[in-house]
Amino acid sequence: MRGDVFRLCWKVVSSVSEACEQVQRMLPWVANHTAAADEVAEVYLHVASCQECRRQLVQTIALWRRLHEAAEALPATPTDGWDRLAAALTPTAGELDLVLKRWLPALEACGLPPAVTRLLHLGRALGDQRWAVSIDVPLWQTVTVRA
Amino acid sequence: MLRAVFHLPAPFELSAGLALLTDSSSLAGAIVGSADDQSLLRRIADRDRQAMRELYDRYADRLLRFAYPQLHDRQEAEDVVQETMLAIWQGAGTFRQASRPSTWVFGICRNKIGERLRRRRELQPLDGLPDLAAHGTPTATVELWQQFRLLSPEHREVLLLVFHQGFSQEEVAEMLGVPVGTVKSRTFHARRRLQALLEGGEQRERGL
Repeated sequence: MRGDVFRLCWKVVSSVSEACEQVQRMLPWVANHTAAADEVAEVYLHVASCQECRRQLVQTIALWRRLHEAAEALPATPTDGWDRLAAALTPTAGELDLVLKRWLPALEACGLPPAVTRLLHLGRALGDQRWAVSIDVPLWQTVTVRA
Repeated sequence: MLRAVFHLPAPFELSAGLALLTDSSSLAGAIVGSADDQSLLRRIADRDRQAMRELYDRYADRLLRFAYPQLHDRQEAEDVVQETMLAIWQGAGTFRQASRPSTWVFGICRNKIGERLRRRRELQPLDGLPDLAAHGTPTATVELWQQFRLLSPEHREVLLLVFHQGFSQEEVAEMLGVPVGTVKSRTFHARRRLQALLEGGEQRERGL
């Protein structure tokens, strides 16, 4: 009899703490507004009757705001940041290919000799067979031919 | 992405927290990535510099504020932003449309940060680097960054992704390459640790 009461009490206590833990793991996403509607509903239903989780919710929202504001106060990128990057974006084979693709029909319309345009078309076709390296997967798995 | 606004019944003493929540809703709206990032990446794959400029304007500050608190070195953080942008320029063609652009961009950035941290561990300890909070900021912010640097790199990263960049559980899981349960658990422990540090200070935290 005493054992049954103990087991029942333990079951109630452990189910309560499990619910609290589940809710407390959700709190950062309630604070940052990306939790799904049903998750938000679950959290608010729970905190309505749980003082500790209510305290944790208020603390989490306060911490979210504090960290967010502190990070937003950090310096922005330097004004010459784009210029530095633009200088590093050197024209590539793909870029030259794009220029040719755009200008070839216009050159043909202007009466450029067919032999020249055919040569340029051939150059473009060869340029299309280039290698692209993925940054997501190891180098030896990434080499693909772009048609 | 679903969002909900809940009105609690009168007896709940949550006014302070809810006031913070409603005040901050505009902040959260500003940090969620927009839908045409995908078309920007498509244009970048076609070597469109204007699209690259737009992407830079959209992400550079966010990336810097993600990298700086982890590296504690502004020059290195700026270099990471440049390297990330160059990687985007070179790799936009490999972007998979199924994933979110912001997740992909931050994924590249976190790899660059990881490389730097690994290199640095071999060369010099973090304690020797200049403090993040040396920018004439309010005392509460100085204290926050001082305690923040005591967290592990994994905890710092996840807190910045969730609390500052406003990523969802699924987005963070995709970025880190771990299950959603792991993200929840890691964020839970990171938040508890930072809160403990802020409440008790470093010495009391060590005594716990």
